[in-house]
Amino acid sequence: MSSTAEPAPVGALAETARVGTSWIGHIRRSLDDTGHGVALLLATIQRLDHKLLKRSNLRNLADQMYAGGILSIPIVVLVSFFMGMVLSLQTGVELGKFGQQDLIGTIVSVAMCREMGPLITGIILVAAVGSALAAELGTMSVSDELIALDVMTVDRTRFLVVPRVVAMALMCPILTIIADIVGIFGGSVIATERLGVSGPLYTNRTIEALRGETFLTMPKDVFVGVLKAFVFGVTIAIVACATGMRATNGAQGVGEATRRSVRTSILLIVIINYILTGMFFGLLPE
Amino acid sequence: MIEFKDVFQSFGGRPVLRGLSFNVKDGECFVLMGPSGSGKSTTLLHIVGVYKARRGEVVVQGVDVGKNIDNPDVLVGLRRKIGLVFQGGALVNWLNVYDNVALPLREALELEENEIESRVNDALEKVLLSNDSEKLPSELSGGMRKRVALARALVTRPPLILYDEPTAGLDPAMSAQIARLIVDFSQHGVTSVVVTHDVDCARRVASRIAILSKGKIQVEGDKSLLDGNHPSVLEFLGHPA
Repeated sequence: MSSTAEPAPVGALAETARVGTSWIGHIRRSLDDTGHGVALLLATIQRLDHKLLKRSNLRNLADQMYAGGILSIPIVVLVSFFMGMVLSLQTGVELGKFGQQDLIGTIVSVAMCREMGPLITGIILVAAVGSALAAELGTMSVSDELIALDVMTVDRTRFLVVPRVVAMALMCPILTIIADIVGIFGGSVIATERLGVSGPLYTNRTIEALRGETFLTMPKDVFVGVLKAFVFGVTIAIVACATGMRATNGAQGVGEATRRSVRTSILLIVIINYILTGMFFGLLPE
Repeated sequence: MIEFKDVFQSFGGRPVLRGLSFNVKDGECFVLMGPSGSGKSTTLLHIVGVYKARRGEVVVQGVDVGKNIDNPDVLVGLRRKIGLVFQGGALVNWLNVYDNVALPLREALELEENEIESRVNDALEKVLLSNDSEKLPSELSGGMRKRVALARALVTRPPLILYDEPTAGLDPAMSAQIARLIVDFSQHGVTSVVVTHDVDCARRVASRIAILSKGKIQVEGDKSLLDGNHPSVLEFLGHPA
């Protein structure tokens, strides 16, 4: 009996050590990907010039905007609609205990514009677009297509990375505004149908909440959300390109690059989200 | 045109090239044959500066590739004089045939669109793909993909074209067609280096043949080399010595 029971602690310890080592490995690889991403971002910025306006580049950009943005509209609409409804229901039930349901419109609109809209959009784009970008470029990497571009002296950053980054930088804010509007609408459905708040009151509260402080002629809450979305879009595309283009070792390597891209992007998005929120709403330590 | 002098290369501690030396003269069609994993494709990637020799020299058109591998201006200048046909074609899969062939002209040479159109149509005509210019790579057969890759290598009018297994996986008729194209380009003054396992292809295109094995050239000569009884040739052809 004792001989079968004894190995367990050793096994548990070994398993804990293995998990710990694996976590350290994940963090180290994410930092490595981030470093390559920063270098790629700088190279991309250097290439934002008039050549982007060439007909072939504009066509490439339009294709990326369609694949990365337009095709993501249905899922963004669906998720943000339900997110708005959940937000309305959760806050409404609690506010109802204090007779404050009138504030649902305020809370849902501020939460959607500041946080939920950009975050939902960012995470959807990581899953739906960032992973596809990493897999696409990873496949090019393992099938000699990137070497072929180098040998043809085609600038791979200009040809592959710039259109993807610009497309995501443009589409992520647009999708976020759509998510904000749909989320607020979803919240109004629950507020009016389930929580007894009148439609005009919900609308007035929403307008009042967003009308407050402005930033660059935009309501501050909307501006912050759009800015976050812009940064998320750039982050997702850069991380996906950086990890994808370094994929090696065939199909397994492409899978690993895709996983790393998703992991690193989500990690960076939540960190950047906190930093930007802190910058605009005074949450960072003095 | 190309000179390898005692080149050594290894990956992950595994030696691939062990004192590789050979040279290719202007206008030649040099065929490099050898068993799988003998370093034939690696040799081609040294010529275009993807790899730097750990020891030895690779000189292409008077440029020491190893010494200039970190000098983008020299490397780009050299690469623009070389076309490389990859084994799998290495086509960009979201661009159609026309745009794949036009890619180096648009993105690297930045030519005017009318010049691009003329050159691409000319190249597609040479590889008999004029009627397939709108097709995507996914709609092409293996042979067609190789011919698109050939057209793409040809379209910049380089004096040197490298072919990595140009007939691998093709039926005999298509292999013969590809070989005819290689001969045709050679007859128009293009220097060619062909890496292949395909004995028929080698016989059709070669002006000189070398057998690469154990990291170095074991024997070289003209086409009759394949009919001789050198042990490396016999070993490569699977005949007991």
